[in-house]
Amino acid sequence: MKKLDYFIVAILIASIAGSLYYGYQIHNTHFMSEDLREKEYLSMEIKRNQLNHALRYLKEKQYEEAVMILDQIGVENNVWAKYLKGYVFYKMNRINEGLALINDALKTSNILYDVHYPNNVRADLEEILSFISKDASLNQYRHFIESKLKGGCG
Amino acid sequence: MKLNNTFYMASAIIIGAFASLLSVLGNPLNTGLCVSCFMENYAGALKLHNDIFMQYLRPEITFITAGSFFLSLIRKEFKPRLSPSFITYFFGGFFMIVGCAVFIGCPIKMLLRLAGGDLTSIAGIVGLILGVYCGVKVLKEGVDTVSFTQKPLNQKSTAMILPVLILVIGVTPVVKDGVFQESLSGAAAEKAPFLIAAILSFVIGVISQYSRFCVTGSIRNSTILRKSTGFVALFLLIVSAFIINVLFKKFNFGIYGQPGSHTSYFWSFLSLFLVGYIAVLIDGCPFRQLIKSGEGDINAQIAFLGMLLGAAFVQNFKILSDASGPTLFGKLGVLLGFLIFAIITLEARKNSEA
Repeated sequence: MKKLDYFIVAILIASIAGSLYYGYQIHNTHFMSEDLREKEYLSMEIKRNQLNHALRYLKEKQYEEAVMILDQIGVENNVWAKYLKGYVFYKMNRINEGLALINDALKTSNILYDVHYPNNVRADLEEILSFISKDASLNQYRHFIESKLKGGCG
Repeated sequence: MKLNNTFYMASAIIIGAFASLLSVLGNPLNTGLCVSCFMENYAGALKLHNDIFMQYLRPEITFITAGSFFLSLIRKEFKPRLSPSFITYFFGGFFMIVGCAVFIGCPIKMLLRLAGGDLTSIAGIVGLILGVYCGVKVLKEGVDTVSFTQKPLNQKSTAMILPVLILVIGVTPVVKDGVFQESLSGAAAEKAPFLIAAILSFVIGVISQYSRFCVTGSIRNSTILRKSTGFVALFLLIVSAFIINVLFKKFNFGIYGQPGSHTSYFWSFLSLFLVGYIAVLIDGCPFRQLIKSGEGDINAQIAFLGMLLGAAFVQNFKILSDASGPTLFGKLGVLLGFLIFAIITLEARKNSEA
């Protein structure tokens, strides 16, 4: 075997090891077999009253009350509630917690494009972006939100 | 030869300018022309995946292939040809799309991203150059040339099936609306007007068939054959796209907040390394595979089908990246690409010794 063959074998072994590692991580990740979009939409419709209630509290700057309602809905079951809770946290100055929830919601479902949501997600994100752009420690969130707002693949 | 070099560089300038114009006219930012993104849209339009934000029968795919097809017929360069290693081309097409989806863009989009001021694309550029370099090194050190050598086929009609099919599918929405899926929002809803996109893409197809323009081919010629034409052409493509971006205020210099990008540099590097390596083995980047499909190259047509299936897979199983970086499936997909192509390379080398 030549040097090059050893190099290719090394790549082969590294890729097998990497594939096993990520394969194991995927094995430990929970996936839903049903269509998430339908579930999210139904979830939104069922909980619409509660979400509107939370939104009213948000407008009146009664953040603690809004969080209580969103916790009742359960952020794990409703991407809209997750996004809204993140936004309320942001308003409460719990910036990192809020941004983490917003990021998670944006990654789960592209709520930016949804017309059923009663609040204007894009306007909220523009507002958040103008704030976090000034803080270099939040660049990771800035990149994600700004990139999403600009659209395109990815 | 000098005229050919001049035309090669001129075609790079035109491709860069037209691609940027397509973006100005409505295609996503920095994505005026991206074969991998557009293949994902194309697969979605054909209902091969269910991401409602990535479904549009991109005229760019149709008319680049059509431009190449018609010019090769006129120039009598439509020559059906096939090599025995067609399964390598199929998986090559498949994993090139996986690599591109993890990087977020094909080699042309990689250059367009840089021309738009996106510095995150540099990791991908380094990866692509190294991938091409390693691919050429492997070929030079010796692989089973019989498997990779194409032989002419006396099956002109068979070789015409795919280009004609692509054209028929591509013009169907003009005649009958609603046959194919079309996103109302999201990346696929960002599109240049159909007629303009069709004309510009047709011109790109024609000049690329004539000049044989290919991003990975340019890198290959410059790194190994020491021909500066390749790198100069790529530089000119970036400059022409940059000028259009600046003129239309689409230039945004920096790392953060770039559209369709992420900051996982390691995976950007690795994914385009894979694309560069595969592109050398199967003789062309995704864009070149479209051009060669139109010229009757059956291997390229098989690579096209591999790319189409790859595009459906990356969207269905999220073997891709978003702005926060690659998914677990994306990382696994790239590593599986390395695994499969390491096996293919080892076997090709073993056969060459035999």
